[in-house]
Amino acid sequence: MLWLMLRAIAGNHRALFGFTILLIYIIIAIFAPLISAYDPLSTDMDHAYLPPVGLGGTFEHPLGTDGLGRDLLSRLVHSARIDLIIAFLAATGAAIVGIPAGILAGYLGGKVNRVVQALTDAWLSFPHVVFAIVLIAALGVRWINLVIAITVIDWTRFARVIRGEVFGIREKEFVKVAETMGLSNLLIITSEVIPNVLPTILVVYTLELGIAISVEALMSFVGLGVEPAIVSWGNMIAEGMSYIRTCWWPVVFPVLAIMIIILALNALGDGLREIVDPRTSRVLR
Amino acid sequence: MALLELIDVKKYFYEAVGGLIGSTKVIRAVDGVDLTIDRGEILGLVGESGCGKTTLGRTIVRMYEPTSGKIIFEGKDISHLPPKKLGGLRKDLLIVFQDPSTSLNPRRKIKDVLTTPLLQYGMLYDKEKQARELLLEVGLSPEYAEKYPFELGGGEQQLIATARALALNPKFIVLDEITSSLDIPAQARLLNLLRKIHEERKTSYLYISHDISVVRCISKNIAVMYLGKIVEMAASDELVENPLHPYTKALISAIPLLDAEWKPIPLKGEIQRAIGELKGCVFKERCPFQKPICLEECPPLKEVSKNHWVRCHLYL
Ligand SMILES: Nc1ncnc2c1ncn2[C@@H]1O[C@H](COP(=O)(O)OP(=O)(O)O)[C@@H](O)[C@H]1O
Ligand SMILES: [Mg+2]
Repeated sequence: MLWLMLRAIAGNHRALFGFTILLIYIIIAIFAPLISAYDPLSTDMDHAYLPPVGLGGTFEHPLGTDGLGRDLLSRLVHSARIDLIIAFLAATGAAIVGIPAGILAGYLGGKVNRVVQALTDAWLSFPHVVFAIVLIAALGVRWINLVIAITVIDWTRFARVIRGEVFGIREKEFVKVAETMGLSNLLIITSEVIPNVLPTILVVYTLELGIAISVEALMSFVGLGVEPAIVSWGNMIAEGMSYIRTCWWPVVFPVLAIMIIILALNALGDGLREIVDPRTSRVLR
Repeated sequence: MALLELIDVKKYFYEAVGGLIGSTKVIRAVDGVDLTIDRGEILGLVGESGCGKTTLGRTIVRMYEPTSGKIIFEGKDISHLPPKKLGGLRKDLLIVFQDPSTSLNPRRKIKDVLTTPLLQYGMLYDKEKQARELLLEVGLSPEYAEKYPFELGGGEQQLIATARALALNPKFIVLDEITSSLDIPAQARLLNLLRKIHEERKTSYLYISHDISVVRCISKNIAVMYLGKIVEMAASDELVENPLHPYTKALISAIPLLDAEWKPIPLKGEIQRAIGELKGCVFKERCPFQKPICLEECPPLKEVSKNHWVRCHLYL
């Protein structure tokens, strides 16, 4: 399965582009201390506001420094760590809650479906940003609380999409056959339903990673995201904004980092959608 | 002894008709069927598309609940038992569908497709080995275990779908047009397999097809269905050589025989949908021998000679 997946990704331009960039980000995050020459938190007021290379800067600080003289490259690559950790934990949390809810609602129908439907409708009726602010205000400003908030809010995205998908699968003839053979609900779900929603799960999961990263930036920007003691893209933007009129690069680099990864994740999601659609691809089987 | 007995089984579908008042129309897909299938018997069921064969087959295996009537399997009335409550009988009463490309899960390997039912019934002890044995039993290469359904041809897919049902060693299988989408060699291969299994295990089949020549070569008895009703029933050879009902005659004359005299009996019009109230004989509109009484009364199914039943005013 994994091997087939990789082979299919290699055969799809959008998926390959997105996957490669995600992989680069992950490698950078893992090896951040090796890549960056400085402690991302250590200040050096003698070297504040240094410009990046090409704008009069030196290779000592390739991307320049911020208002406290901290090396921007070091801050950027260390931020990748917390942002990717938040993204993967939050997307996984939302998936763990949302996938079973969606599958059970879609396959069992009836009461379970009505409960899940009522919950997702209630969630939809409440603006996500307001919901997130309320949750963080209640839980406190810590990165792990951001993970919890994203999980609590976004599980419905998985639940809704997968429920709809399973509604369709439930009517397929091979599920009817399994039913007439007397297979238990559990066996039908694991052997007939899940293999067929797996592609959709992958797509939603990929998109959710991008959503979690933008939520981190947004929430940290308003001071309700990652605690200021930890360097994250959102915190870099929030701090840089206070002196953006005198010096723009401390804000522009994290914004670019976020834009590129979200672009890549969307491309990967779209590519996966193409790969798993039997009409456009037969590679994944 | 009867394995399966149907007593006046009806299955109606109700379709909402739009409009101001909003009524429903009734589709009498199966409209009062009496049948008995003995242990080890193969009964063929023929009739044009739309006459209710699939509905009858699916009602027998309790995919559908009958609107009225009784289904008795192994002496037990299962008419209103939900499929989940059939318990031990469930695996003895199976169905194979017409289109193998949709009845096999496209995302699972053949070995998984074949062995999942065994897992349910605690009959799985060695997946790889059992999958290979099942493949060999139906005459396919054991290497197919690792393939996915779409890598196989239609005939091979249908062998897999059939093997999956046979793996549970059921007492009775409804085979719904399982050869209809296949080419001749694939048909022959599947029919040979069914014959072999029947000889070895005495499995009973309800063999459904619109093609009477295929049904004839496998079934002991044949029932002919028209608009939800059985119109004629007899031993296969008797039915083909001595058809009585005008509809059966028309069906048989549509098969080009070696007989030089062969001339198809024309059937007027198309089969209709059994919608709404019905008066008189089901076949009246298309029958070349229509009499006034045919418009008034539906004839009963009558045994006109030993084990030869017909539902026609000509033989009352
Ligand atoms: N699920 C259903 N809902 C409504 N009408 C149906 C349904 N299934 C079958 N029918 C109708 O019942 C009649 C018999 O159909 P079917 O049993 O499929 O015939 P056959 O298998 O002989 O071609 C047809 O008129 C068909 O349109
Ligand atoms: Mg049919």
